Amino acid sequence: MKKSFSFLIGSIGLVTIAFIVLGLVFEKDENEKQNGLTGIYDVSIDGSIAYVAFDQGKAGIYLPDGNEKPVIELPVDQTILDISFSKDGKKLAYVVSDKEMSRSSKSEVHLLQMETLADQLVFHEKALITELAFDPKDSELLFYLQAETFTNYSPVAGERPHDFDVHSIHLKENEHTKYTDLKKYNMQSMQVSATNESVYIQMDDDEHVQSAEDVFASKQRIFEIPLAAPDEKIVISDPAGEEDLYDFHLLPEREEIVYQAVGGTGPNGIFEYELFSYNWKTHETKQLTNLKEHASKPVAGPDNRIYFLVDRQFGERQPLYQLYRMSEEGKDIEEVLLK
Amino acid sequence: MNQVFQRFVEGIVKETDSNQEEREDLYEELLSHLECSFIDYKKQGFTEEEAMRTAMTNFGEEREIGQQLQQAMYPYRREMMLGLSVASLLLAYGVYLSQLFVMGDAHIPWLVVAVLSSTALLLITVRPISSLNRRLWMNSLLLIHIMIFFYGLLLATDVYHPMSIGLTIIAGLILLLAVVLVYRTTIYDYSSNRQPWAKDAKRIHFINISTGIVIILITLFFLWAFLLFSSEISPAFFLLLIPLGLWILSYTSQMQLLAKQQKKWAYTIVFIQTAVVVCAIGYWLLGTIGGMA
Repeated sequence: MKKSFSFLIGSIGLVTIAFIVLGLVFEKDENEKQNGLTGIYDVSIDGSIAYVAFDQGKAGIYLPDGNEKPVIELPVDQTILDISFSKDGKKLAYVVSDKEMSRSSKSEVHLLQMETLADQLVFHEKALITELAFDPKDSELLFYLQAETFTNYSPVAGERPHDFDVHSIHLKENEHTKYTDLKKYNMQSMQVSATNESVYIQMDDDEHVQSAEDVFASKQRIFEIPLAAPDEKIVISDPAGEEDLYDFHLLPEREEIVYQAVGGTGPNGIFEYELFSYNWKTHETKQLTNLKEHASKPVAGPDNRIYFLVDRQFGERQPLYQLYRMSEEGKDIEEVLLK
Repeated sequence: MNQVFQRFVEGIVKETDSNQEEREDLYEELLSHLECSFIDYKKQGFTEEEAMRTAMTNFGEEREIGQQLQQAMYPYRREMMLGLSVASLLLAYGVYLSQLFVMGDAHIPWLVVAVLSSTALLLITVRPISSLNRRLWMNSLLLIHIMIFFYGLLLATDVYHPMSIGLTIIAGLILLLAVVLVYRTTIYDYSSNRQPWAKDAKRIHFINISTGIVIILITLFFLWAFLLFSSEISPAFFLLLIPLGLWILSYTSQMQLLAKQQKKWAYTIVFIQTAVVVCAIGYWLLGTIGGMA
């Protein structure tokens, strides 16, 4: 009895020590845990899709060319914040920053030549560059959104990049231009006009707010900002709309915006995000998707199809993105298999 | 003869979960029973050696008798304790490995304390230590075990679905079993000799343990919310511990008053304490329902 009891206690001790050793060997750093597709992708003029995915925490740019290896792979402590194809599809710009962003985080903008896969550092900045967009009129002009601060403006909010403005770099002349001095709380989903000298950006419609209540009541809308006169920006989404608009893509030939907004609330209380279209001539709004999940990031492809992401695990710890496409009327939704 | 009987009785008593005082009473009773039996056999013409052997043989095998006494005095207590310790050990390993291989996190300090706590329960179940079988020690160990495995429950819920479902259910059952053992340890298994009114003491213990569980859960919820929204520890943090402190004070005073035969005052405090908790919960529920409306 005494022997068997000592054996039992000894076994518990040995098993515990073995598990501790296993823990020390197999424990992963926070930076090594991410896997799978991120919400960052772009579609080129020839229909090629470039996307950013994590493999054991390493962010990489993948091209669905049959090669399962990424064309660019970063160390586990860095991430890719955005990618953008040039109009001719020959260049892919991407921006690299720290995974754990801080006030001292820097950004590096790179250029990948699609034919040779040669990678070139274009410039680096002691600030966070969160989005890139090539000018469809000039493949040498790359626009970017730069945040001047990384802080939390509210004690209940986490630290985030703020004080955004629109910048550009001329790749040949290496000349930077700052177009706006708005210091916006947030800017996203930047798109450069194919016809005018203007950019389209989603941001808070908080121009005339005075009190904290006004700030909370302000809506997120889509603005057109003329580059020559940024103060003359105008709202191009429904100016009287009561809903917040998030990601969007402009379809100028249809005079429409495809945008993401809340479509409803699921049985578990989590918002369902759908894609809608808004015609700025007829002021007609149409719901394109009814997936009751989290549709986001609409991008127009060369085949008159709208590409978009669906997060199958929205509201959970890790997202699970899948790429879909549909007609501009929201029909024939099909999954695009990337790997 | 006396030494042989003493060793025999010690072997029986050792098998029970009784405390030192109860063991001494049981020891005396069994020893006297054996001695009477020995005298009877001697009167029947047995030699001293034969009378001693027959008395012990007819009494039964030490371990078996001890276990029968244990079952009679504390029905299913040992099985419950054994079940709690073994299930806790298996859950500790299961949660740790799931967290390690599914989530990539090695919760080594938690594994160590969970294994130590479960092994301590196993140890005092298989090899009862009389000096430890006091209500205070047993409840302290069970409460520490509950806190460790409450954290284990949170770790279990943290693992990806569907693995988290099974682990969470098992963790919940372990906590439930530990809480039931706190109730039975306090109310049934180890009653205090200081209390003249045993029935009233049981009743007051039951009410206080139930109130204590509610207060601890509410305090933990507010502590969690406080830590979630506060970047640093402020004096307000300690204000959250006031209800818990008041409950400990109220519980202690009730038992003191009951021991001093001040039954009326003890029940008055029980009533006030319960009314305050019920009103606070009612106020909070009304506020929540009002907020939702």
